[in-house]
Order: sequence, then structure tokens, then C-alpha cells
Amino acid sequence: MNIKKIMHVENLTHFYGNQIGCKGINFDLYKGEILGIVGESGSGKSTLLKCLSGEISPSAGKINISLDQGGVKDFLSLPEQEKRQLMRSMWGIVHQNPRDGLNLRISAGGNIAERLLNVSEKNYSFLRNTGKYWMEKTEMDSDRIDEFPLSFSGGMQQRLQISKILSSNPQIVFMDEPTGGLDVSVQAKILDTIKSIVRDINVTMIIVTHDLAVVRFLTDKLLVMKDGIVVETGLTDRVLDDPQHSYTQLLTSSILQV
Amino acid sequence: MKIIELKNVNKKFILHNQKGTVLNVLKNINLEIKTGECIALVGKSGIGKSTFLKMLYGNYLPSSGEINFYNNNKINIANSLEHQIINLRKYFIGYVSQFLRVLPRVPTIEIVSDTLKQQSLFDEHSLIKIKKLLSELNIQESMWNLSPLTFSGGEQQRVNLAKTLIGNYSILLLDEPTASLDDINKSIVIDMIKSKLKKDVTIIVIVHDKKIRNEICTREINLEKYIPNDN
Ligand SMILES: Nc1ncnc2c1ncn2[C@@H]1O[C@H](COP(=O)(O)OP(=O)(O)OP(=O)(O)O)[C@@H](O)[C@H]1O
Ligand SMILES: Nc1ncnc2c1ncn2[C@@H]1O[C@H](COP(=O)(O)OP(=O)(O)OP(=O)(O)O)[C@@H](O)[C@H]1O
Ligand SMILES: [Mg+2]
Ligand SMILES: [Mg+2]
Repeated sequence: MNIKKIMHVENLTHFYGNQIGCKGINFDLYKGEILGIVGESGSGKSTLLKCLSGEISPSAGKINISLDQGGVKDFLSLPEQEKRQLMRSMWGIVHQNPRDGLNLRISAGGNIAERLLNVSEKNYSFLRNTGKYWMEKTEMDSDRIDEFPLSFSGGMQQRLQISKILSSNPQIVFMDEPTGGLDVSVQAKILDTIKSIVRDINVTMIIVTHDLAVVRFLTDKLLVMKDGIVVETGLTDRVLDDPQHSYTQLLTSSILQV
Repeated sequence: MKIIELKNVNKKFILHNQKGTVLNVLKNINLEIKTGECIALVGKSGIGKSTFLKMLYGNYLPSSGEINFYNNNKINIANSLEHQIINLRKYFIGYVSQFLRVLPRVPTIEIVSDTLKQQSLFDEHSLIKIKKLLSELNIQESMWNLSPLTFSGGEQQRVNLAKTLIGNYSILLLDEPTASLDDINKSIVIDMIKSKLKKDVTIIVIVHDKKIRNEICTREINLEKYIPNDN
């Protein structure tokens, strides 16, 4: 068995002025893995995710990526244009607030199509069918494909954003608290949806969340962060059931058993 | 043929938030298990039987030592990459925990099917096989499309067993598989374990009932000899 390493991160560090965002982060991500990043508020989870996805340029460190085409590349020293192109077509970023990831001026179907157009799919009926297919897959009513995002509830907008991202089959999906702004009952259903989809399409994903129940059933491995650094890493159930670091022990004991 | 090997395995828990209390649980485990053996882990409550199984499954991390599995090559689960452990769990080692842990809202039949899907063994005959297994384990047809989370303790345990026994694993780790079962279901499960042994599956089981151990096990490992002397 030889699974491809698609991301190699070394000593990744980001400061906001004197303020540590994240520091000395190292890990590898293999194809098909789902990596969870957990830790308390302010521990640097979003900062790390943004460095990885190219939304911010880290102060130091290295990110090597190896995509389906093109061999190993030093992500941080790619020309800006190539970086943008990669993020548009091969990365999928699911924002916490769906409005940040959706184009509110075009229909649901248009939103999905817009993303597919970036990966050069131009056939109209294909675009429409794919839109419907993904709406159904994320448990939306595909008859509402011509409605605009603002006519949907927050939970549906989030489903639409997820459809939009997953439809183009990105090589890495980044999610930062994808259900953070939603009702608890809606959260659970969306996470169910995400779980069932990632099980059958073999996506590679990095997801930030503070919810250990989510982490347990969604992720394969974990980074536990505190004060900008990673204090523990490993197989998800191992980290949760036999935590080694004092902070992880605190984190796992302070929640209801999941 | 050697299939599992423990070398100098130690396990302690350091409870950082309880004044750094150290629980020394198991020490200096050196042993080998051969293909097709059925090993019973014995010892009093709290000695570390479940801990032993969980280390074999990669769920607990040994404090030191190696836990090697011999498949085509040797793999030490104590220092393998996450995806290697996940792969080992998918195809090679099945584990039945003491309590069922599944996603909410997933129907019983899907939980059992999922094992075969993971192993890429799901085909047009699978549903018949799954239904047969569930029936043999006395899980009634009316329950197949329900989530097992509201089932009784014994029913949950049988679903937990079905989920693993349907798969094609070389090694099975069973933590008190018959504990909450009545006599009829107990003997059904024992027969299923025996038929796995006939197929040369290697089994490590925690079972308190001496009669059952005598019936299925080829060897007992008493964990008493691995109690650290400073306890
Ligand atoms: N744009 C910014 N400018 C200055 N400091 C920032 C900025 N963004 C984040 N920080 C600081 O960096 C640290 C890490 O923040 P980050 O947003 O990565 O945390 P987080 O783990 O995502 O927290 P949360 O769970 O609350 O979202 C915090 O101390 C935060 O105040
Ligand atoms: N995750 C953990 N963190 C801290 N201590 C633990 C953990 N898991 C087990 N222990 C401790 O390790 C010791 C062995 O526990 P284990 O559950 O392995 O015993 P057992 O032999 O299976 O007992 P029983 O027959 O009662 O099930 C106990 O003292 C237990 O409290
Ligand atoms: Mg954040
Ligand atoms: Mg036990």
C-alpha cells in the first residue's frame, strides 16, 4: 500500500506583529485523509488553516504540495498568479459564514456552475445536472436550483456552499468551523451529510472545529493546538481516548464523553 | 506462523491534571501469538485487559516497546503513521469494544454493510449474508432499519459483534463479547467464534466465564505477571 503524501508542512509560523498566530507547525497530509485541528479559542487554528490554504502568507516555514498533476511544488514560493489559480481550481475552501463563499447575486445552480467553470467544464446541461446532483447529495431540494442564496436558511446556504465546493472535486478541502454559526440541530444534520459524502468520495480534508464529537466521527487524525503551537498529534481515537499531553487531557475530560 | 509480537511493552498513564499521578498498569510484556491461536486474557478487574487489547488496536499508545503485526511485512502499530493504522484496521484487525459506539441515525443494516464496503467486499450477495447474520444473532427484521442506539444492552452488543464478524479479518480482538448476552445468544456467539477459528482467524478475547474459555481458547495469558512491582 502506497498512499500519496499530498502536503508536507515544516516549521510553519505566522506572527501578527508581535502576536503569535501559530508557530513551528509540522505535519504531513496523505491523500484521502481527514485532518482535524482542535484547540481553545485563540490557539491559532484559523491562522494555521489560512496559511495552509493560501489566504495569508506565513512569516516562516515551508509547505510542499504534490497534486495529481505536476509533481512536488513549494507552495509558498509559487508565483502569486499560479497560487491563485491553484486555490480557485484545486483547493476547496468552505467558509464558516456561507455568505463569504457564495455569490449572492446568482442562483444556487449558478453558484455551483461558477465553480465548475473554473475547472473548465462548459456544457450547460452537464452544469445543471451536476448542480442538481450535488444539491440532492447535500440533502437540498434540487427543484430550488434557480433560487438565490438569500432565499435559503442559514443551514441551506451552508449546504449550498458545500455543494459548490465538493462538486468540482477539489484535491484538498479546507473547512473552518463549517457549522459554527448554525443551530445545534441543524449542525448535527449538516455534519451527518458531510460525513456520508466524505465516506463515499474519498476527499482529502482539513477541518477546524472545537467540537470533539464532530472530530471523533469525521476525522482520521488530529492536531491539538494551544497558544499557537501543536501540543499533540495522532490518530483521532488515540488522541481522544489516551491523550498524552496535559492540555489534551483537560480538553477531553471537560466535555461529555463522546 | 508468528502474527503478533509484543516486545518490552510497558503501559502507564500519567494524569497531568490530577497532580501528575502515574498509573503503572503493564510492564515488560514480551510475547508472541501465532496464526490461528485463540488467546484468553485473564486477570482481576482493573489489571489492564482492556488496555492490552486497545494497545493492539492502536487506540492506546504503549509508553514504550513494540507491537508488531506480521502480514506481508512487519508493521509496528506503536509507531506507524495514522493512515497505516487505519489501513490495518480496515483489512487486518477487527475489534469489538465492550460498548457499541456508532454515529447517530445510521440504521443497523448500514452499520453492518459498512464493514464490507470498507473492505471492498460488498456485492450483490452481501445483503443476504448480512440479513442472515443479523437473524442468527436474533436481531429482528423490524430493527434492521433503525439506529441501534436505542436498542437494549444485549442487542447493541450483538450489533457490535455483527459489525465486526461480517468482515474478513485475520485478527479479532474481542472485549467481553458475551457479557450482556443470555445463554441462548451466548452459545450462538460462541459458535460464530469457533467458525472463525476454523478459518484460521487469530483471536484474542477477554471472557470471564471459565467454561467458555475452556471451550474456545487454545491458551490463556494471565496479566498478573506483567503487573509492575511498584504497584
Ligand atoms: N488579523 C489579526 N491580527 C492580529 N492578531 C490576530 C489576527 N487574527 C488572529 N489574531 C490573533 O492570533 C491568535 C490566533 O488566532 P486564531 O484566529 O488563529 O485562533 P483560533 O484558534 O481560530 O480561535 P477561535 O476558536 O476563536 O476561532 C489570537 O491571539 C488572535 O487574537
Ligand atoms: N484512558 C485511560 N486513562 C487513564 N487510566 C486508564 C485509562 N484506561 C484505563 N486506565 C486504567 O488502567 C487500569 C486498567 O484498566 P482496564 O480497563 O484495562 O482493566 P480491565 O482489566 O479491562 O478491567 P475490567 O475487567 O474491570 O474491565 C485501570 O486502573 C484503569 O483505571
Ligand atoms: Mg478560528
Ligand atoms: Mg475491561
